[in-house]
Amino acid sequence: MTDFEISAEDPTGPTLTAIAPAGSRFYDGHFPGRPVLPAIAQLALVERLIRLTHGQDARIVVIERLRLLHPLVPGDPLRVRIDPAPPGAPCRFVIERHDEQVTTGVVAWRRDTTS
Amino acid sequence: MNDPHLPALPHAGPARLLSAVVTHADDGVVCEGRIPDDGPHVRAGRCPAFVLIEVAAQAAAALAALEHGEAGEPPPQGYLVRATGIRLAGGDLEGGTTVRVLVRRTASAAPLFLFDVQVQSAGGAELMDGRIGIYVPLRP
Repeated sequence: MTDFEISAEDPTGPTLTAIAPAGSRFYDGHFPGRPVLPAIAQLALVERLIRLTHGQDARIVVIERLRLLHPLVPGDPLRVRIDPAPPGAPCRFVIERHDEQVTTGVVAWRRDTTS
Repeated sequence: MNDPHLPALPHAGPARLLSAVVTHADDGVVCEGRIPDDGPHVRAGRCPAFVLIEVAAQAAAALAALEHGEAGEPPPQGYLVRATGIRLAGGDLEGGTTVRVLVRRTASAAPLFLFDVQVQSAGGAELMDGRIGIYVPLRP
């Protein structure tokens, strides 16, 4: 994933810090003149952290709950944290900007057998 | 080429994933969408299945524009603020493929609107279902 600048990721501890700068393709057309980081870009960060923690074949298959509390704009510094969980079990996550929770949720992941 | 009946949406360029309105009723819409084959979500020609949430959100935006859009006015810019009970049936999706998205509004308490959503493959296989909430700031 080249459209986030990942500044720290720790495969032994489920935390990742990242930034989507103004030139990131995530903002192309979303939205012209008022760029906002799409929810699916945030889920991509969460899945990246799940893959770092549980293996590269892990894929999000359930989004039990997703709450986007504040819009994210280019350059916002993000910290993603997950609670490790086995396949199919609820995996809580939170995305913070500075110390403010901006997105929270619960997902479940499974190993991808299709690719 | 996009359907001329597709209303103006705030999404543009590669972020725009809807291509046509198939049917439109009082509280629902069926649209055709496209899985991106290029862009930041694509890995080796495939996309994570959760991109379908964005397809569904854009169909909800299309429904809002069909019902409340005004000629000459920019389309309302809504924000996906919640999703619940989203089930993704398969693994990564082939980029460039067409999907059908069904959106039904289940609650309106402006500026928050709730929708049941389903996404199917062109062959009718279920790819995603669940519920989403869209926040649409009220115009002054």
